[in-house]
Amino acid sequence: MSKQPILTVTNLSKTYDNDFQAVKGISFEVEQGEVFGILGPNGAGKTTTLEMIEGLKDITGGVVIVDGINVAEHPDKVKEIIGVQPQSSAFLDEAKLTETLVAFAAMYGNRVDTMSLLEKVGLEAKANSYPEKLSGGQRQRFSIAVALVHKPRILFLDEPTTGLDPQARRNLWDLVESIAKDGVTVILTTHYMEEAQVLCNRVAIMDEGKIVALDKPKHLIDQLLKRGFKPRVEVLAATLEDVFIDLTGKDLRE
Amino acid sequence: MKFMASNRYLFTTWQLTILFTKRYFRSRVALFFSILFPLILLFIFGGIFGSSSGTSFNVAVINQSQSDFSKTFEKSLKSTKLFKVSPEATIGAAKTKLGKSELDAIIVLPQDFGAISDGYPRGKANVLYSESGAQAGSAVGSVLNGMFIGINSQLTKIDPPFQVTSQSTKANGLTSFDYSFTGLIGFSLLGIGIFGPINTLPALKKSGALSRMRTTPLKPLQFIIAYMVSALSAGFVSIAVLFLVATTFFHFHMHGNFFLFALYALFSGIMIFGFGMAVGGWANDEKQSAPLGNLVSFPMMFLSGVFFPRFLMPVWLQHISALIPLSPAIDGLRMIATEGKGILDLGPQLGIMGVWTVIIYTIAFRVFRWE
Repeated sequence: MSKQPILTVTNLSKTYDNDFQAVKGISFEVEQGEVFGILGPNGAGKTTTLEMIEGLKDITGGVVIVDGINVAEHPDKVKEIIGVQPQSSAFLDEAKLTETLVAFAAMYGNRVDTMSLLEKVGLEAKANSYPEKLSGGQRQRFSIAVALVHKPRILFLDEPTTGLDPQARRNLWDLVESIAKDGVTVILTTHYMEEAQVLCNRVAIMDEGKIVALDKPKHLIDQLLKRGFKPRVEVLAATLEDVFIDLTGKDLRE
Repeated sequence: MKFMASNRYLFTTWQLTILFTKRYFRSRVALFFSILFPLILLFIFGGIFGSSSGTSFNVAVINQSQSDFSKTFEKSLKSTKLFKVSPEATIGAAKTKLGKSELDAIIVLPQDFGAISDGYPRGKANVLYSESGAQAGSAVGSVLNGMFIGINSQLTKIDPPFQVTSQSTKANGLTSFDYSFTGLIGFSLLGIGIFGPINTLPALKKSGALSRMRTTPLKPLQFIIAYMVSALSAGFVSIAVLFLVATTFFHFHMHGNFFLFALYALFSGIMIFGFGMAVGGWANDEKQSAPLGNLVSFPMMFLSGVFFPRFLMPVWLQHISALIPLSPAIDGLRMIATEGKGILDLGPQLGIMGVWTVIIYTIAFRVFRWE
């Protein structure tokens, strides 16, 4: 890809007050229109990295440039052009979906066509519901809609499919793909390798605060095989999840 | 649609205010504590003070005399508002009730009561009372004495040289309910300004609803203002309902200017909300907000004149409690409502409230946390 980087992270590090170093000098670039995945086990520093890029956590060392803006210097300017779905997304209870969208758009000084946004995430039928009445998958999709109210250039999704059933997860993948098709750069974290393989153009694998690998999923697999790796079990032509989806269908259960 | 910077700031705050206000009026818990609960208290207070239009004593009258005078006198005892005469037939039954404090006194008219001698009906009425009800007993005695003095002077046609006249302060239209009503408004302000935020904000932090807003360009001040305006609009409804019920059912007398009263209540509400915002905005969870919230609200609840007027306290306590934030609020409202005071008379109260407002909002703004 020869596109311009929309995000440049250089030597980024985070040390907490108790001297714990959560992120240890990582560098990477994300190109415009890419779906970029940050993978890693719990405690690898994925969320801390995202929150520093989003301007929510102070940066201890290094530089983050989002669309030409230095995050440490202008965190508020960065907030204007990014959409964020935090790991646990909750909303005011007893506020309708449409009302919540209007209020969030107003936080960016915008008005929003709530119905077309809800249609985009497949929740037009729930327009007058309260967020607390939504199922897990619906809530994640609504959370993404909220992150899109101001037409951001980059969308950050922190573990968007954790805790969802296979149907809801695949449904969310379709949504992420359609958002990427609209030209929005997507940066997501996940535990699920299959998800990264399906969605991400490139992935960075983090462990103990460092990036241990960064490439296209296919290249990473090829490199592993070149090193003479053999799976411990015979590779099946289908997985148990394929069986599950085949038996229960792709339709959303909510 | 984009806005100029200052317009955008207001637009954001306004839209958030609308959302918060809608939520407020949907939340049954919030409505209960801000409107229904003060209303229930109003009915309790109104019931206590409204019925006591004057003091009265429960007595039994045992008439052992057959004279015409005694029968007339018994009738007049039953018709005076000062006595509630219970229909005990025998002195034994009456004494049992007296022992249980169901009666304040027993008035016994002996056999010879009202018998005529030297041209006048004469007699001695006996008042029986229990050891524990000595005060009520002697009061009943005094009332009888007063009645006899009137009868004596009518019979003898002599105008007694010395007389006592007493007048109730009710002459200027104030009842004890009028005094307690502004305390209730203070209670409503506490509910909306303190109990609301200290319960709501930590819960919203716990759920992550606030940290979600932090990912946007929203500023804490916008959040605080929006929340404050929504709380005040609920407060306005609460006070309006209290006012309506108080005037309709309990004959509340408003002596001052309605507009000034509303304005003063608004300022009081803004100040009190600062305390709830400081505690709720700082606390991460209920474990932090509950004890601190109690520490802040209890002195206001018990020393600021919510449940009984401050002028009933010992003088030294009045001086201290005058500085508690809710005190000048309730005092000022009472001065406007019952004494018809104007804004110029409220200088000291406004001064104390002004100082508290500056202090508490400075703190609230500094300690506010999204998560």
